[in-house]
Amino acid sequence: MFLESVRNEVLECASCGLCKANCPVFEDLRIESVSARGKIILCYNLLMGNLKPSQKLAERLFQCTTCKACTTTCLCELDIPKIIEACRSDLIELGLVPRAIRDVLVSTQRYGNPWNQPKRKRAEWINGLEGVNLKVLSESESVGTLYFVGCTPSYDPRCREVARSMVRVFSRAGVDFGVLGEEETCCGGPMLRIGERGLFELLAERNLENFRRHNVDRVVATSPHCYNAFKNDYPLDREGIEAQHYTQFVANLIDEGRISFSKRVDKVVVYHDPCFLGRHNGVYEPPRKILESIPGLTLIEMERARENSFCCGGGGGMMWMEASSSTRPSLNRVREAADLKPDIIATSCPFCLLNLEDAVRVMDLEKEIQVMDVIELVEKAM
Amino acid sequence: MQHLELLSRSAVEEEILKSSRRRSRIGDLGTNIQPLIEIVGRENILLDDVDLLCYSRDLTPYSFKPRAVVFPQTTEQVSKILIWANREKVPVTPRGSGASFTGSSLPRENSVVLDMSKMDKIKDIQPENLIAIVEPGITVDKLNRELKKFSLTFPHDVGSHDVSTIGGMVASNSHGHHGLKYGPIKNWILGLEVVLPTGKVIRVGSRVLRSNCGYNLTQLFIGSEGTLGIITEVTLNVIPLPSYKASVASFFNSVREALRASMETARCGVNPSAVEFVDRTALETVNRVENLGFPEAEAMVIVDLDGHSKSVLDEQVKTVADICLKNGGKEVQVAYDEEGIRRLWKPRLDIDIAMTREMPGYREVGMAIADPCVPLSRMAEVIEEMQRIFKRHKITSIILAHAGVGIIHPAIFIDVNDEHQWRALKKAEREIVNLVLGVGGSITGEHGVGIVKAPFAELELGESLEIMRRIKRLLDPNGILNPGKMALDTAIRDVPGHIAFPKYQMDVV
Repeated sequence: MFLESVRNEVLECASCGLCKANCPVFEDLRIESVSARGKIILCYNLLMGNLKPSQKLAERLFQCTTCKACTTTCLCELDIPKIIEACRSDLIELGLVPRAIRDVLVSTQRYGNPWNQPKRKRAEWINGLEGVNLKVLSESESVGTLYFVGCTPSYDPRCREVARSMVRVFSRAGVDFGVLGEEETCCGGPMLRIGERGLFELLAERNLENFRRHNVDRVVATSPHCYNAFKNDYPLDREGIEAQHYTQFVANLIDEGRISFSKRVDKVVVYHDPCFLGRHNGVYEPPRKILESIPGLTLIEMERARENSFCCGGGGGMMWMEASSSTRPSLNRVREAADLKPDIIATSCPFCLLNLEDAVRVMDLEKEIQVMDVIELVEKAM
Repeated sequence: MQHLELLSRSAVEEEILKSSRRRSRIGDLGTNIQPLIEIVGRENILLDDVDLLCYSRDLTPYSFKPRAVVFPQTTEQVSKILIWANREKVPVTPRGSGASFTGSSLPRENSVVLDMSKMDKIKDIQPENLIAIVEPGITVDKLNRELKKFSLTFPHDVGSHDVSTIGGMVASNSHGHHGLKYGPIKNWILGLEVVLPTGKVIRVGSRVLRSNCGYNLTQLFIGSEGTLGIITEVTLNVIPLPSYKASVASFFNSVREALRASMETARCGVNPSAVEFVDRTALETVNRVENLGFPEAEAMVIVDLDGHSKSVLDEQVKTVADICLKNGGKEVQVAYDEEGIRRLWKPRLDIDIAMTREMPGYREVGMAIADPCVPLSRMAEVIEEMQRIFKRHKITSIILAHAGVGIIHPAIFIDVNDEHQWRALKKAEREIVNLVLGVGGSITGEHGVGIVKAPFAELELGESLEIMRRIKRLLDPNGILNPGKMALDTAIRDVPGHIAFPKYQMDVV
């Protein structure tokens, strides 16, 4: 029973409810059972044998983006996502999983991605990069820096633009790097957040084999979710491999003078901190440093920024939850951003990009606000 | 112990009998929720056990699961729900964010919870009149975000400001960290719209800054913990946002020196917004866990100042610093920026984080001694005696205080699976209630009575409790609104089957 391993944390919860302050799911649904306090009360009752696991319980436990906003406001700074992930692991072992999550697990196991897309299409994002000298690593080719594209930028049409932008920026900066092409597989991070530890281990081993085979010493990820998994859940230190999010890598390239800007971007830009980059890993400065270095760009901040950033709703498996049981925190986030009248909402996570762009569309704000990835702004200014 | 002669066994039995009579009198929701569905729609009702269980807890050890949770969105809906509940004799417990320290928003008697969080609109902000009219479900932080656009603020804050709702705060007459200057919330409430248990909607108070017409019914509903009516609209006094603020912290070799400095600061005319006391254990623990670099001391005092003139503020900071040094303060640290102020407040605010890091599995628990208020002149001796009591009973605790107003906050951390700790806590609790009443204090300066202080309410209130009970009966003849609270219908707090922790020690009477 995985929940047993976090018994102390469950007992430490004072049931004060402060965890609700910045919870994206609670702000939307206002139901105590989707808040961290509610979920810990449920976990406590499971531990005490007062509550039996059920489909309803699973539904509530999976309504969490594991964004860690609750930890930031918690009276005791409890690692609440850890408790929720442990409980999810137990529920998965019992087969109690929302249908959408089950589909994600099946797809990832079968195809190596959560989007139910065939493996052979994984490298299609490369189409359109003609003229760029991109190294798609062959069987045992070595590379120092591996660009780990990630599942969503590999398959989603909008996010493929981000991956292509990344490659063009890296190439123009003279970076010697490679990609895995069709050999790349899901990092497994979201599977771990969902609670599927076995699948995560399988995927991690597959990726580690690839890293070893190509003598990788640095992995640069598009997605904060991949970066978080590599940094915190993979034994990369032991392998002598450094994990970086692309904003860290690009900020260094700017520092080293390998990226310089020749065009102005005269826009007001508000930056949205992705939870798995910011709160989970403390990476707040590199994306801001990049944006501030772009000529003409005015960077502004939402009140809920950095460790108080408000989740877009995409983490912890909720990216794949069906609309009826899911929520739309991204609408609240775009509303907050729109109050500041920016030209662009910039972010650095594929999930955030998709969710925020979708919210802008739903709110009919497309003419006023554009949603862009930080790397797209970098390319625009080069 | 002379102050605390709890109810005799026969009296307890009588209470339980009364309680069971009341339960059988109150109708059951059963499966007939059709009237509620017609009022709020099925999507605004929770009935599943998984959902209901999450409304059963707060910081107290109690666990009361509601029979349903209903989310009204208009005053009219609240009125219709109460008409139905009164007719069917179904108990109703209103709830803001459920952040109570006392059990006041727990659905004792298997009530229907009326969750007010979806009534969260700002109806009007009138900057020229310095008022804001809001629905009860809005949180203080959200209100202040909107007020900031007008350079205004609602200055009453509480520790849980980012979740606490205005309605919940009004119903419990919250006090907050800055109550020394800005008072409890009652000072800022001009008028209310209230739905009575019969469903009748009334307005009390006014929408102007002063009204002295008739009995002050506004104040009657403030702090009534949802036992007299459901608040559906609040008219608040708001003020211009102060331009400058500062915190001054000082460190003392004794509790007495620290409290002498606190008292002199509160009386010296600089009008501080907060004068806070932190004891050695809290200071040491947070200092160690967060590596803050504060000096070793028996006590720490934090003073907050704010205003509209930087030069005036600077003078006030100097006055406070001088007072601290004159009274034995070893060192004075001053901060004007958010980050610096936050650092100085860490020993006061981060104690739960530090304690749980150092004592895995321990949690803070809200009992009857969480917020007594004593005369300023007796604070030092009461705090020192409390420290002796906790030491004698081997209870892990720290003591904080709103020293400017005499409110003492002992925070108690226990392993809920250790029955000895529960037993010791119950003994210490009684001794401290006696201590507080013995110096002419109040058992609650801030959080209210709820469930957890019910056994002790009569000791402080005496005959006035009976007047309160009559008022309750007058407004709520069927006893449907938030039963089991404030000692209005029962003084028993520990109900078998409704305690969250198996090793908890029930009251021995």
